[in-house]
Amino acid sequence: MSKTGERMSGNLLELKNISKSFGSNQVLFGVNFELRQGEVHAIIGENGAGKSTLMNVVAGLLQPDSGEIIIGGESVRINNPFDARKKGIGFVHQEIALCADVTAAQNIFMSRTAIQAFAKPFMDYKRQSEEAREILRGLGSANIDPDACVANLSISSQQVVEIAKALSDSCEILILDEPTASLTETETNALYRIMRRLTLQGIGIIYISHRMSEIFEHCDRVSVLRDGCMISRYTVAEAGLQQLVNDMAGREVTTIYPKKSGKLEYRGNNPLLSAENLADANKRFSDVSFKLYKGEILGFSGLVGSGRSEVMQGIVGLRRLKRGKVIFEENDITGMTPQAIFSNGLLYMTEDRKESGLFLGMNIANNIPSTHLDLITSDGIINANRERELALRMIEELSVRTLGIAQNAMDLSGGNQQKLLIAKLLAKKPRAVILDEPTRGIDVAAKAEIHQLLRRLVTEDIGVIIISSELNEITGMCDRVAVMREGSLVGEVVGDDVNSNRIMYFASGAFKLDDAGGSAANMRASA
Amino acid sequence: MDTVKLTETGAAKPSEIKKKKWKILEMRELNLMLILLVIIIGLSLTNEYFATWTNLRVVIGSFSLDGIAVIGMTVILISGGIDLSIGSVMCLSMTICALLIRASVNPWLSALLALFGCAVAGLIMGLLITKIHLSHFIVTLCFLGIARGIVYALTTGTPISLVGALKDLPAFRFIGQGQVGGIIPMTVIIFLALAVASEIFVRKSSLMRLVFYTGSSEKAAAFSGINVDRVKLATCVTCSLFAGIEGIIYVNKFSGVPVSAGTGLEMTAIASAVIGGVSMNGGRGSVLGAILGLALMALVQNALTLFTAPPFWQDLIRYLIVLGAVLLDALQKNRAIRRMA
Repeated sequence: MSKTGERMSGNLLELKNISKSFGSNQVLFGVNFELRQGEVHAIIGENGAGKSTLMNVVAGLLQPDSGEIIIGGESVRINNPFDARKKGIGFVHQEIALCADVTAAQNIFMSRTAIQAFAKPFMDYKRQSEEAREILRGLGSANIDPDACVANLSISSQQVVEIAKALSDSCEILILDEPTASLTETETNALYRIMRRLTLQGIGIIYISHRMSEIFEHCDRVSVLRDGCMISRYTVAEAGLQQLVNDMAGREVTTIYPKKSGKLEYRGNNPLLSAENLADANKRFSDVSFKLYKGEILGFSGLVGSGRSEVMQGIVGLRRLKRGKVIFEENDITGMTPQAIFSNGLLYMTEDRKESGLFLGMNIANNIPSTHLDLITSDGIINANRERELALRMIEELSVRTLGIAQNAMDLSGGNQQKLLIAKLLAKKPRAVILDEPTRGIDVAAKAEIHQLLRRLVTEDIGVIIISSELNEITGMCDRVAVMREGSLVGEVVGDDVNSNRIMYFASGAFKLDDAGGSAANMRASA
Repeated sequence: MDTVKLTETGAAKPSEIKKKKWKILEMRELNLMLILLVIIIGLSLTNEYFATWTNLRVVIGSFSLDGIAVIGMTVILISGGIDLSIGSVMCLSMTICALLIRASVNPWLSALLALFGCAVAGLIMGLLITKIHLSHFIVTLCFLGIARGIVYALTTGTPISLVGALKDLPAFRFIGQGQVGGIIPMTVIIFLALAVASEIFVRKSSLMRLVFYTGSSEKAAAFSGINVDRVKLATCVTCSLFAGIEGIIYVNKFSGVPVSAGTGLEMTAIASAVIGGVSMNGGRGSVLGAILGLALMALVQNALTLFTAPPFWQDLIRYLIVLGAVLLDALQKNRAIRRMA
């Protein structure tokens, strides 16, 4: 995007020699960093490299042990988040943290309200709403109603509100932490437009992301953090993908997806799982039919909200179906309880490891057998030895990085939590697995490991379904792709046809124009 | 370069992990035992009555009764719920049992029917919580009033005396008033049996593990195929049943029903559980811890009595000590977190 960094050379922010440790554990080692006016500067690194700690130092949530923070040429001390805002630093966290029950405008001016609570004890809601409208218009999002309750806004609108909130004080330095993690393709593009606007106004953006393509397309410079040290800094033009990946990992990591099964003769066999005319009791999807065969990875693509997760939850009994039939290994499993379906060997892994996946307050050993307690139980009593052995076997198999199986799930990094979630899924060898966003928000190395593992599962005659919002992952991993749009299955792509253009053609609804005589080539190009 | 080097990601080596012994006692339980020991030694040195059998029997007697309700409270707290109705449900159990005995129904059958009544109360609460999605707090708060209301309605507010009726029922009377070997009260034995069995059940059974999962994260439990509603329903019934059992022994021990029996029992039980490390957010806790918590409360109460603390000051002092115990633990935990992070 903006290549204006060269034009304005003033550094908005400089970090010099920042070190930070917690107890005996040093997390940052003399980190240097600089942010120019009007540039987008990406910080990348594996989970646990120290990105969050560094950003928390900048945002005043943590105090560095040593080092200097220089804003606008002056050495400063940032005592708390309020202080950071006063110095022009806005922070948009990865997880949206808005008050859901009040309006967008009230969220945007939350900190101002807090500061002025005593000086101005009565709220002027009307003026506040107008000012909020102004800010939102400045972000090119005039369609968001400042008086709308945040709970009623879409995720992407909520994110815009977060950005507006960060900008509501005169913000010069904006930190975006994984802003696209929960956005759809279109919403992501809208965010890039907003970023471009802001950089043109001279705002500097620190951009944290795991998605390499974003960095190449939308950032000016990139700094790599590994194990608390700033390893390298490049202008995006001179950085190579493989170089960045190796810098992050500190070793050679392949970014190549494992080889696909290639042969498609399995399609003649009996399907492992077949869904016929499924319809949701809450109308999130209807008339969904598909088949899954042994030895293939079937991808479910489509925009967020197209009903992919809901279909899968309907299949395993976590949602009520209104109509339809689910056949698994020639047995009708329609209407069975999730427990019965899971113990039959058809498993579903949630997309949200924190909310609905792991028992964060419990330890690793306790988490793993939660779906299959029978593995470690005899006569109703849990055998602690068997539980420990199972846990040790699984964390070794999935190379979960941990201090031991008595460590709480909460204390693992994102990538290791995701591996633990998969360990839980595979505790008892399944016949078919459905993985919802199997690699969301985890680093490149962990991602590659999970991809290898999934491919290995398929060779063991297990059927695998992957739901993913990352087109790369879908095209890289899947032998066959089903595309959903607005609650229906709209297309299927097989074998060599599995590419992003083909998938977006269906997911975006372009095929409809095609049917109506429109130009498919045009749409494909724009997709 | 088709494969990723897995070893370098540093998965812990199994041999290293095995060395770490599995903890039998939590930090909190050890702490409590130490505090209790200090209090016991202190009291026996400073007060000549404390170590007398007469005094200890009173302490252990009331402790054994309330301990039964504490077990039930522990289970429902672990599930992520709470039950404010146990005091009233206990009194309801006493009333049903006493009225039936007075009407010459077989005492054992009366007790069973009383327990059945409590189970029904627990079931209704559980159904309201799981099917209508009302909160534990609201439902059990209402039943705190409803169960007590039924007691008043049934008794018209007059205490029931069973002194005469129990005289002819020596076998039944034994569970509340009997002494094994002439010294150990039967109530203590019943309590200890229940406590040990529950502790083993809580620690080891897979059913109780389902309760832990549900309390730790209801959503994750549901996504693991656990029937969360059934688990919550079962804990509601369990908690009411334990309150009911306490009621049966109570009515026996005191040969009657004072209609205000059990008032404030929920506070004692919740405070004990929290002191003993049971999480109010669910997913964590042990019966042993909760009972040690109750022991602390009971000893403090006893000390206040022995030193003839002015009665109007007792609640203040007691709950300041509860707060102190919880604070001490929280401070220690915060320090541990800071060290680890």
